[in-house]
Amino acid sequence: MSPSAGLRQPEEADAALVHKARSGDLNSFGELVRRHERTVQGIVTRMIPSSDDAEDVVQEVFVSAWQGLQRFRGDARFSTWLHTIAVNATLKRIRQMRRHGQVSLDDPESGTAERLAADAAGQPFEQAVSAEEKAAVRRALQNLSDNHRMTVVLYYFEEHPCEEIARMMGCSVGTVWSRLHYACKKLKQELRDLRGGDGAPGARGERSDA
Amino acid sequence: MNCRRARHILMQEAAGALDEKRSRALRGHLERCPACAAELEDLREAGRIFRRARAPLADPSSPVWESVREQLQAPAGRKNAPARRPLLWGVATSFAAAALAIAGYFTLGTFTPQEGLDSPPAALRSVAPQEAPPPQVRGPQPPAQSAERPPVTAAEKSSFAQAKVPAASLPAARRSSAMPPYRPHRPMAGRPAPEAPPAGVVAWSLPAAPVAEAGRGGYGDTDAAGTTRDFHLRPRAVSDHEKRSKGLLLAEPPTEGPAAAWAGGGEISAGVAPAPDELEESARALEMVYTSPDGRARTILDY
Repeated sequence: MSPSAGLRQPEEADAALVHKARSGDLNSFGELVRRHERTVQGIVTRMIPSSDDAEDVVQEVFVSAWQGLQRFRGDARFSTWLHTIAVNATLKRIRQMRRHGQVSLDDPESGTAERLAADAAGQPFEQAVSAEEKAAVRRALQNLSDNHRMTVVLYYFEEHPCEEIARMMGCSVGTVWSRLHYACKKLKQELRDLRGGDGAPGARGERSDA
Repeated sequence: MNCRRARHILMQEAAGALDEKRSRALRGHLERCPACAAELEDLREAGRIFRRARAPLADPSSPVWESVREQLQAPAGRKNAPARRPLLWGVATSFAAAALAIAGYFTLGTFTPQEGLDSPPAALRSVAPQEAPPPQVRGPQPPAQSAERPPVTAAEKSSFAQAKVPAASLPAARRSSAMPPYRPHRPMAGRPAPEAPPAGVVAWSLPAAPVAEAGRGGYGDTDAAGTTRDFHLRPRAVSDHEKRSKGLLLAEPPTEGPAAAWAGGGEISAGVAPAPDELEESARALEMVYTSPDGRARTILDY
């Protein structure tokens, strides 16, 4: 696609908006917010159970982005930079919530896993998820660390490539694959447990793999 | 390929992300190993379930931009404009100054952190190889060669000069002030434990820009066997007490920009984990890495 074409690549459009926003153009920043709010919400709300807290964090992410815009040098895509802020802000808020004994993320009644695996009022899925599978996903996510859960959210739910996830989370690509591997094994283990241990051989051994 | 190696890449195979060569090698192993083949099938199925379990997002109760704009336009002072002075840059600068202090301490023994924070010791510059480009001091300029600074002793100069590594012996990338694209920054398992930089390493360079751009907090390290390990720079506030106890002044970098860059043996790099949600804090976790001319990296400051 020609750079001069009317339909520019999203990255180029972002770069132009960032350039204007850095000089203080609030409207350009507003356009950036609108372009990226959905993905930021995806990261935050799939991790934080309380919708009030989640909305708060989403706003905080954009406020932080505005304040830190001078630091964005354009080496990475703006979206990656912004999502990194979202990941950091989300993980930080979860830690705070846990520290202050607020809503437990492990509480199945209010936890993230419930939302992640929810049927969302009968929204159609590409393929139906059985109740058993939903329960297994919920339990697997409850038992994962924040970093593992975030990796699952970014990869399977928000569909970011592993390389980008590695940048967002400040780890290597190998670690992203390793976390996904662990999360998938955890899910399979939960499924086996729910099905009454019909896949029992080797099942216990799988839990030990980190 | 054995099972251990196969399981390292099973997830990539399950996601269809493995290159053809490694995929072929893995398939060869899977034909002989039912356990790994079963695990691959487990991973594929789990991935399918995760994807299907994705729930649609609920709409926010109020438009995001409206709420954000209200906050940005509120008369709260610092939120009203993009920060003029990039904090990350500033923090990197202050830590760079701290690195100088530490390098000076390890190297010459008698430099105090305060001296290091202000400027490179005069001795370091005086012995820089003549053929090397002039030292670039972009950041904290010495506060005008202040009279309080004690002179460097002849013994210090001597000890430095003996151990100095000529800049010409280094690869060009190490002599420049540009940040190398990748740098292992923590000893890997099996390597010797971290140790202080050897005496005499006094010429070093800092990246022209913060090591970690906003959002990038760590680097991977792939060893000769192809195993990738990761390291983290974790954001953490540093208390005043900690600053005092470490003898470091971290709060206010003297000027903007990287602290300094010298050609010479070894490098010290500073990495700052971005914490955009912690802009109020004046210092955060940082890792200083010393890379010797032979390419070995050691963490010399990590907090």
